[in-house]
Amino acid sequence: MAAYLIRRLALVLVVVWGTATLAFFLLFLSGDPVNLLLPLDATPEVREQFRKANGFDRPVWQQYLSYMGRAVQGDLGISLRNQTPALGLVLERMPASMVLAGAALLFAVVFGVLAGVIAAVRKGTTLEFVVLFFALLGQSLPVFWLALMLILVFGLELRWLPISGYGVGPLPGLPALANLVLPAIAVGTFSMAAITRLTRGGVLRELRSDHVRTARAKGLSERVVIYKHALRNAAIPVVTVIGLQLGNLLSGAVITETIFAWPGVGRLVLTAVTQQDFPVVQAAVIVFAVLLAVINLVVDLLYGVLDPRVRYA
Amino acid sequence: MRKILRAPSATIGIGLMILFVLMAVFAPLISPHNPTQQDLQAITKPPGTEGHLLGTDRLGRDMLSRIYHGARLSLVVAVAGVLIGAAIGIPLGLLSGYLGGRVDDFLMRLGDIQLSLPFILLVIAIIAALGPSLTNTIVVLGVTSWVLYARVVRGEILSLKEREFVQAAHALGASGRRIMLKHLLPNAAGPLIVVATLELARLIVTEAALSFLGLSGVPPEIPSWGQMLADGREVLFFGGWWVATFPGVAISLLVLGINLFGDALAEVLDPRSR
Repeated sequence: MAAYLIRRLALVLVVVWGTATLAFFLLFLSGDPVNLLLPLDATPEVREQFRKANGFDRPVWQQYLSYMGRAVQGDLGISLRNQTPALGLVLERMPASMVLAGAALLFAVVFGVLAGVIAAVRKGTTLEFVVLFFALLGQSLPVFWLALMLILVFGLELRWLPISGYGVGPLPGLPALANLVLPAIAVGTFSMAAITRLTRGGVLRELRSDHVRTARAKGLSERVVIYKHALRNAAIPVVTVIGLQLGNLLSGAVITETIFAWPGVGRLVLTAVTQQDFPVVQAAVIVFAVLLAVINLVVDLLYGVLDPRVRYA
Repeated sequence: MRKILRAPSATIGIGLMILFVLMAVFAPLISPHNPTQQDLQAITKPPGTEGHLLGTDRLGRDMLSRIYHGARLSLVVAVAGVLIGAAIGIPLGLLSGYLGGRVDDFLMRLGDIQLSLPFILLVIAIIAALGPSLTNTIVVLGVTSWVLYARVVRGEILSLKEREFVQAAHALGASGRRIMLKHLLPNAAGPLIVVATLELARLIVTEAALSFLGLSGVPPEIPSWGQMLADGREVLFFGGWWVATFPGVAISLLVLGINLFGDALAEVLDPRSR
């Protein structure tokens, strides 16, 4: 177990190092980083000055080493717009994105597992067909369009829910619940559909298995059989997919935040792109990589809790 | 193929795909209007207005004609992206699986790193660095989607490498290249087609997302569903629901069609997934 943990942590470090390297070289993709970092109308003198001041006149490998050296100390550059550390800007916005992704995940898991179990138990009925159809549809709707349609129906026509902003929540730093609903549904629908299909498949497989037959033969109620014997085993692949879905959820959040004026990292990144504030984009890429690497590690460890047969070697 | 067609959902999927391909090919013939023709006498007319079945946008352009033409951009960008991704991913997967060792380690870790980032964030970051243009969008979508092809090919090869027919080819003196291309690759064709189908759907949505965010670099004179949605968002608040609704319906139906087809394909090509 200890050896496994060390190996996995090493992998996390490799991923983080790789992403930081990628973020660094993105600057050179267009040829000259100075062009990327300064407005188009900067004069040649200003460009030269900027090049010297930021060390862009040195060989690339020296720049790389000093970039990595600073990154290790948590210095991911200065936002060109705000003149404050880029990492700070990203971290400041992170809680809002995490709350959104978390709420979307909750929505996806609760309704996905429920719908999946229903589809499996009612196999061959119209209900199963309807659930499966909606699951497939849910995987086909682009998140930004779904967001617009939710705004149109629940915000503008029915006027049930607010369509923009973070609101004031029950606790400091948390959004108002009503403000969270539409963005969370928009971001979570794709994952919900994936989880529905996966749960259905898993439960169906388990319902055919020997231990479920034994449980039924023992005279256990159908509810206990389904929820304790079948679903628990079916949950294993679902948990893995949750790790993968988090990437999807954060991707969805990046696009959706702008639509709902949600003060998260996604909106920050898009604003940074339009303002040519590249250090902020780099910092966001690195922070997301660290976050997802850690989450995937946690999911892998959770695996063992759900399935004692899993051995970490 | 006959087996695929037997599932009704697959028939619907193929039907939808063919519909959109026909739409794209014959767009200039079937469009009632020029898709870029502005008409300030007829701005944001609702669906069903004389001559505008799906209404007009805020510059008075005909929605239906723009949707027909938008299919062209979507399909061209996504298909080109899939071809580029496959052209990079398949050879890398072959090398990775066949050579093993350091090459394999390096390529697979690279894939891990890439997949550990939210795809859209990666694409946005690269496009922010390169500057938005249609060519950049296609290239970036293609290049960044190499991982799945490589993984699938590598996986197939690892499971086949020690099999008798490959050993036999070795013993007969076949070159590594010949073994890879003639004996290993054809066996990976099934799973590769499934991956390509799913990637096609994903790239259509990603291109639309980039266009929606104004980052795809598609020139304004080329109708694109994503840009239409962005326009629609502006008029959504002034009662113009149709401008944002119809392009999204088009994207969803096309992606739904591809997903239905891909599902049926996966079921036939991989009987275990039943």
